[in-house]
Amino acid sequence: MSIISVENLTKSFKQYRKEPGLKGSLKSLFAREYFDIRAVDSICFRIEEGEAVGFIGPNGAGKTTTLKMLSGILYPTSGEVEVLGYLPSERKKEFLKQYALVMGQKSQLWWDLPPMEGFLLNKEIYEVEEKKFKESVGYLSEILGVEKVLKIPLRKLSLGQRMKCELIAALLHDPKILFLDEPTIGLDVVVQKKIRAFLKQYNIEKNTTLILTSHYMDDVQELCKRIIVINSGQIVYDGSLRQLIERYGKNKTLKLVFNGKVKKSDLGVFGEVVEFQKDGLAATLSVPRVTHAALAGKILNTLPVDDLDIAETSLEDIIRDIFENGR
Amino acid sequence: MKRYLKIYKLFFTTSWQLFLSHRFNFMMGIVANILWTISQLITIQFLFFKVKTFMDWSMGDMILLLGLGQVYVYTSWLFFEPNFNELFNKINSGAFDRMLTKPVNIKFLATLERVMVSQLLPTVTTVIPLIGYGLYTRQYLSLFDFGLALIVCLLGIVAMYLLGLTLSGLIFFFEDIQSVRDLLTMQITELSRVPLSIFPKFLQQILTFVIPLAFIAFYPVQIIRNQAGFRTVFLIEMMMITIFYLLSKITWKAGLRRYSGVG
Amino acid sequence: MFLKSQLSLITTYRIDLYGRWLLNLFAVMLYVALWSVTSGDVADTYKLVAYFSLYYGVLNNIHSSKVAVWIGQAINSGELNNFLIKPVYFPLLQIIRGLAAVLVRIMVPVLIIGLGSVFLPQAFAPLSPINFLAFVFFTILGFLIWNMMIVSVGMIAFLGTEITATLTTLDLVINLAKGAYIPAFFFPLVVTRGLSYTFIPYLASYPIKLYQEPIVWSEFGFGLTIALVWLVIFSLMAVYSYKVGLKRYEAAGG
Repeated sequence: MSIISVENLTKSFKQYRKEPGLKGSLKSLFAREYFDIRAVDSICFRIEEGEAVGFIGPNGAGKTTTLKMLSGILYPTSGEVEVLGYLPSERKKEFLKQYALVMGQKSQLWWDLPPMEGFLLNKEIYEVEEKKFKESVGYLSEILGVEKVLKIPLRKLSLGQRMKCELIAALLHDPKILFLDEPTIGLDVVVQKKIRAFLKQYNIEKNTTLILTSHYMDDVQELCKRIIVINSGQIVYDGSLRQLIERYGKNKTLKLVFNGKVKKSDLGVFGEVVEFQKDGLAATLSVPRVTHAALAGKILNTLPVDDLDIAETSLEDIIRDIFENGR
Repeated sequence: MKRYLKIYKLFFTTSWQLFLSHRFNFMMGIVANILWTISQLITIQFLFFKVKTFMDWSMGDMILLLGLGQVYVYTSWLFFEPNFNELFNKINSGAFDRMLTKPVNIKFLATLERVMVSQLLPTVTTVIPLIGYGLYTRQYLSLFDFGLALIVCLLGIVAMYLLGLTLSGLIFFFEDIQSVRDLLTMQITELSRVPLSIFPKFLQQILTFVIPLAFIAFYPVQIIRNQAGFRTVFLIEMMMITIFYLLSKITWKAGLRRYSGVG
Repeated sequence: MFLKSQLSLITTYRIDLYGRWLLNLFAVMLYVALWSVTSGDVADTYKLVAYFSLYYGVLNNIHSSKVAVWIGQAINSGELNNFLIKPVYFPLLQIIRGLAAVLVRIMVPVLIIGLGSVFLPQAFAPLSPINFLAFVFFTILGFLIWNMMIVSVGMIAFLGTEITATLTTLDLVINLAKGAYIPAFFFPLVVTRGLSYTFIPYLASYPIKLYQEPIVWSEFGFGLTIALVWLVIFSLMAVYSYKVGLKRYEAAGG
């Protein structure tokens, strides 16, 4: 049985229009014009235990709204959703104890107090035993490298340290599902990498299901084997990362370094010249996926190639293409 | 129950630590409390320069009324007012989303998380002297009646909390219901400092059966003055508490269904 | 443009406004009921109605501490940075923001008092058009004095202090003297004389007196002089505290 099951899930919000200017302001005091916005529109998917799934979409696509319906924060307008065998909107205590939600840059810990105070509160809220609590704090703080900062007020810590403490607070009660809403936003590349490595390790060791929303493709590529692409409230793609690249990445990129000067026109016959160094010693070509091997062979035979690197179209480019062209 | 008491104990200790990290602001708050009480005493004294009795209430009775009214003010600011005030900000900042993910009653978490420990001192330094003086001026005082009056007062506080809870549930329907809450906690609460009998009948009914303000101070003092029967007052109070409890459940349940979060 | 945008912002929160208007009404009802017990006749009651309607409906709304709160918040959060990079004078912008709130809040009370002047003139109407103009003049002067003072208080935030409780304390101290709880015309003569050298009566009780009673021109002249002196003092304090504060400003980081 799937750990998460979603059928025709829809969420609409009521918004109102306010005309600009003084007249509009005074009018809105007494009468407003309301309209509906469909943030999530009849989406369906299932997630198995232990999976790491990435939700990708532009701003306003419905990713966070979906996450909030899965975690019971929002009530669906229509459709069915079941998580761990519970209806999230009922917000039963047994359900709430089995998952955790981590939101990037929105901390659940107190700003003026050390993170340990927040851990102690979570311990009571989630009814974690004393021994288990000490073990978890010790283990998690050691892996994340924050043992020495647990007793320092949160406001004095760096963003990276705060995020790590946030993760500890979320994982104290060994949740079966971990919802991560843009967990690495605003963090530097080093900390991002450390957090990804930690989450990957945690996912493997504990078989915790990870549901991640992020604008950073590196997050998705490193953590998730499966991705769900949402655009305008609808699922555009649901499958493995590999298949996404193969399906939407029609081209491959050939990065060439030459040991003799080459003309741009010489390269144009093989494919689209994406980059060309003025001295003619390096270039990047975009060639069709299906013929890339044959074309690479021809280039090697024809031109003075010193180095050839074949790469996939970047995930960013693929996703951008999906969003812009609505595929 | 035990779990909730443990959690509340943690709320208290963290609030105490927060108090210690913002001492200046809290100390000024205590000064503000004392100044406010002094200004009210001056007002009462002024009133009694102009009249010998205020609708058959003596100055001692008025000070007792003020003191019992302050029990509500300080108790509410100690336990739940700061949380009601912050609810709108918590919703706007996204902090409320986090609260919804916790396996704890959301109303408990949202309305009792912060304990304003700075209110403990004014309770001792202002309320007790006021009540003490008011009782001292009475020619005859029954401790039993005083005990009954305190019960009515404390139940009145519970009723006001539940009314506040009901109104705060409306925050999910109206973007900013803060002023209606200010109305309840500041302006209307000031009405509890004067005998209700000075108001028109319709307002007296409202302040008894719609907004249970009369039970905070007026009826407790009337019990001490032998002007009201405990049994009747108690029954009405329990009825109000039951009604507001049910209403708060309804508004929060409906409100959470409607909740749309931020962003 | 800024004033317009602030008006737009304030009218977004309708329930807040409705609640505030109700707040004013309850305050008027409370104090009129309280003090009318001490008064002899209907005329006195009407005088109390006018006094508290003008006080809580108009003047109290004009003297809001929000400007100081906004200044404090901007300094403590680092939001002040957004203003420092623009060719605007930050304290003045906050006063304009406060003015927007004032205009919206007094809208309905002014309408009610206006209607009251027509249908119940013995309670609500000013003594004469000259009295009305004098009232408006001193109300505007009171608004300026209050805002210059409150801007100076807001600048305390440059010292790294939370100012909310300071403002509450200040409000409490001034409110009693302003005539919030006891009508100023009940004050003993010695208190009235002493207060006349401060700025406090010119915020509320003196404008109301101008509205309700015949103008004593010598008293008007004296009051105008004192009010202007305080306006200059508070203005200089506001400018100086802002200048000094900016030098101390640490521009809170993210």
